[in-house]
Amino acid sequence: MELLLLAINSMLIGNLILSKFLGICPFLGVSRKLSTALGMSMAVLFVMVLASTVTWIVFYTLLKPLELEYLRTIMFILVIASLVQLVEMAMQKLSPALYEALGIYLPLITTNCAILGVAIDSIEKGYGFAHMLVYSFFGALGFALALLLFAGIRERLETADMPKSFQGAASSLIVAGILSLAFMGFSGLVPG
Amino acid sequence: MSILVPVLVLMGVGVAAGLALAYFSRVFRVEEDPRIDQLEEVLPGANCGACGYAGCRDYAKALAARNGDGVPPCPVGGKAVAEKVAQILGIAVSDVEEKVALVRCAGTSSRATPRAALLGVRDCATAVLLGGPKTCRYGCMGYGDCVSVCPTNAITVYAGGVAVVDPAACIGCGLCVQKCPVGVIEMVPRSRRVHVLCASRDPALATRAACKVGCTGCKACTRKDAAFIVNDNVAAFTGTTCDYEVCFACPSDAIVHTDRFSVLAFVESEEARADFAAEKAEFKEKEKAARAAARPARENKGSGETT
Repeated sequence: MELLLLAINSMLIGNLILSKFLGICPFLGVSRKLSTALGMSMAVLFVMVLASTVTWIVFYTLLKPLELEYLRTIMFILVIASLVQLVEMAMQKLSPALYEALGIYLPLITTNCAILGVAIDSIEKGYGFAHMLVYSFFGALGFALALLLFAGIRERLETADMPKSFQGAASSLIVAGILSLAFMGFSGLVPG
Repeated sequence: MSILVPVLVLMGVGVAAGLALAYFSRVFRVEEDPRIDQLEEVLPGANCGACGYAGCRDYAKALAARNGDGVPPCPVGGKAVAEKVAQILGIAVSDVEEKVALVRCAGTSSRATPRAALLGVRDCATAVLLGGPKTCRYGCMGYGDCVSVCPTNAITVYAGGVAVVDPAACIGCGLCVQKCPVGVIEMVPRSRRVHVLCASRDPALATRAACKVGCTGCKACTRKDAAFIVNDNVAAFTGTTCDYEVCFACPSDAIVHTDRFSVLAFVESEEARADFAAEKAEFKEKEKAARAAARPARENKGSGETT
C-alpha cells in the first residue's frame, strides 16, 4: 500500500516535469512529434531506473561508510555519465535494434537534471532499495506521461489557426503552463 | 590528511570508470564499414546538415550503406569532395554545382525608403511580423538572423544595414536561406559572375518609391542578354557571365558584375558606386555618339529608296 502511494505520488502528484520542473529541456525540445517523444520517454525510463539503482548502491556502499556524503553530486554525475556510455556501447553490440530505437536519446538524457534529480532525491528522502526502484520507475513514467501528453497537444496545435504572435514557442509555453496547472490538481489525491 | 580520502575516492572511481570504459569499448567493439571513416575524412566536417542528414558522420554512413545510391551530393564540398567520395565508393561522379549564398538586396539606409524604426527585440523574425523597417517588403532588414546561423561567419551586416555574404568564406550550406524570414537570400552557383541585387516583386511604381536601386522589371537587361529573365516584376540572371556593358542598361543600377565590383563594394561602398556611375555615363555618351553617327547614314539610305 505504501509503495502504491509512493508510485502515484512520484508519477502524478510530484510529477518531475510539471510540478518539480526538472527535465524541462527534453520536455520542450523533443516534444514536437509523438514518435520522438516516445523514444525519449523510453530512454528516460531506462536510464533513470538504471542510474538511480547504481547511484543508490554507490552511495550506500562507498560514500556512506567513508562518510563522504558531501561528494554525492559530483560522484553521481561521474557514475551516471560513464554508466550510460557503457550501456550505450553494450547495447550497440548486443542489441542493435534497441540501439537504433534509443540511439541519440541515450547520450542526450545522460546529463539531464531529471536523472540526477531523481537519484539525489531518493537518497535525500532516505528511501530503501525497493522504494528507490518504485520512485525512479514511476517518476520516469510520470515524465513519459507529461512528455507524451505535451507532444500530442503540440502536434494538434501545429495545424491550429492561431494569431502569428502565439505560434510556435509561445503557444508551447502556454500549454506547458496549463498542463502544469492541471497536474497541480492531483495534489489532493493523497491526503496529508 | 582528511582531504586525501575524498580526493583518492573520487580519483579512484574516475580512473576505474575510465579503465572500464576503455576495456569494454574493446569488448563491445562493433565492426563498421571502414569506408565510413574514410568518407568522413574527406567530407567538409562542418556538420551543417545541408545534405539532409544529422551531420557529416550520418551522411557518410548513408553513403556507405547505400553505396552512394540515391544519396544527395554534399552541397558544401562541391566537385572536389564529390570526386573523392566517388573514388572511395568506386562509383562515377555525378555533377554537383557548388553554390554560395547571395543576399539579393542593395537597399542600404541611404537608398531604401524607411518605414518605421523597430524598438525592442531587434531580430528579423520579430521585425517581419511588424512589417519590417523599410517600405520594401522584400529587402534585407539587416537585423542579422542569417549572421547568427552561419557556421563560418561568412555573413556580415555592414553600416548600410544590409547583410552581405563573403563568397570566399561561404560553404553553401543554405542555413541562412532557411532562416531569412523575407526570403531575400538565394543560393547561386559559385561560378556566376553577374547578379541582380534586388528581390522586390512589387510593381514598378511601388519599387521605385521604396528604393533607389530596386529592380522594376523593365526588361532592359533581357534585351541586352538572353540570360536575363524577368519573373514577378523582378529580373534574374541565369547564366554564368555576360558583358560588363549590360550592367549599364539597368536604369536602377541593380545589376552587379563581380569581375568589376564585388557584391560588397556594390552594396556598401559609395566610391564604387561613383566609379560605376562615371563608367555608365561615359558608356551612355559613347552609345549616344555612335547612334548619332549611325542615324544620318540610315536616313540617307531610306530617303534614297523612296524616291
